Amino acid sequence: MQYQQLPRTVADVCDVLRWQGRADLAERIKYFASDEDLDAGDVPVTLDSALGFLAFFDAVESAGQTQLACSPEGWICAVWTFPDCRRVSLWFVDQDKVLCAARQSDGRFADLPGDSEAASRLIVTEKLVESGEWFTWRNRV
Amino acid sequence: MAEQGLNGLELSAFHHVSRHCRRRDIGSNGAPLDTAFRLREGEEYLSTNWLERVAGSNRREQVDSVRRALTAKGFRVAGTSSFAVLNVGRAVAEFRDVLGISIRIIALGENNDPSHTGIYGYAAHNVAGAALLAALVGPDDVHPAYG
Repeated sequence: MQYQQLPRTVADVCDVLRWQGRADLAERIKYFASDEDLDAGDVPVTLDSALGFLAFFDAVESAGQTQLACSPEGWICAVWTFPDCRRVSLWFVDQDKVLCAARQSDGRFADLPGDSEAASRLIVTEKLVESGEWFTWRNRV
Repeated sequence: MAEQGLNGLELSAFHHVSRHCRRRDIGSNGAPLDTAFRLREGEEYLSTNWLERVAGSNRREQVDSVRRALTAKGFRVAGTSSFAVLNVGRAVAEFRDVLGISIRIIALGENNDPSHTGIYGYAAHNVAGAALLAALVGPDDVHPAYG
């Protein structure tokens, strides 16, 4: 999807998700942006993390169910679960970097960049789609 | 000191531990996600509580006991929090079989939190470990902090 301009706030990211029909995800991120339920030293979701998630979400489609959590550092942790044992967790460290844990249909974790230190979101996205296990490109020609 | 008499004991397979989960750790299906199980940088173990060590004849009473102990030692347990219950044997076996990692769940009792335990053996950067633990918790294994 092409934006008129890049979202400048977390609220903008939520607006885009609502416009895409994912009010559930928008409400979740809006909650992450609040001070509610934060422990000492924790921070609300960061704009960079929300932008990273939005970029990934716009790039791919998945038959998995999407669920969101937020780390103490303010990183969105998006998890896609499937009826079998497949499961992908992506931690959006910032706009360009992710941590990744992706479990394959054979029960093993895929050997991917981002499994022990943050790696390029674009590269991880390519690898995840190329494997054919969890995601397909959205509207790629 | 009597509360610490079991410290260092490695929990056996049929025991259970609980992990406190904040609302922002809980997914839309009510189950905890990976953020509930990732170590913070510098942490040596994941804090849990040994449910067979606390007062209570059922899970609800055990979770209530854990919540009271955590609150008594100054830990904030919000009304929207939950406790995820893990079986020790399943957790150890999954780490061994899937990740080839040996974890241990060790008693770390304190006077005001005698059931305190820690999951040792995986590091903060091991996001697969956090994913593995999250996937072990089913809907029936999650209990609201305040029943």
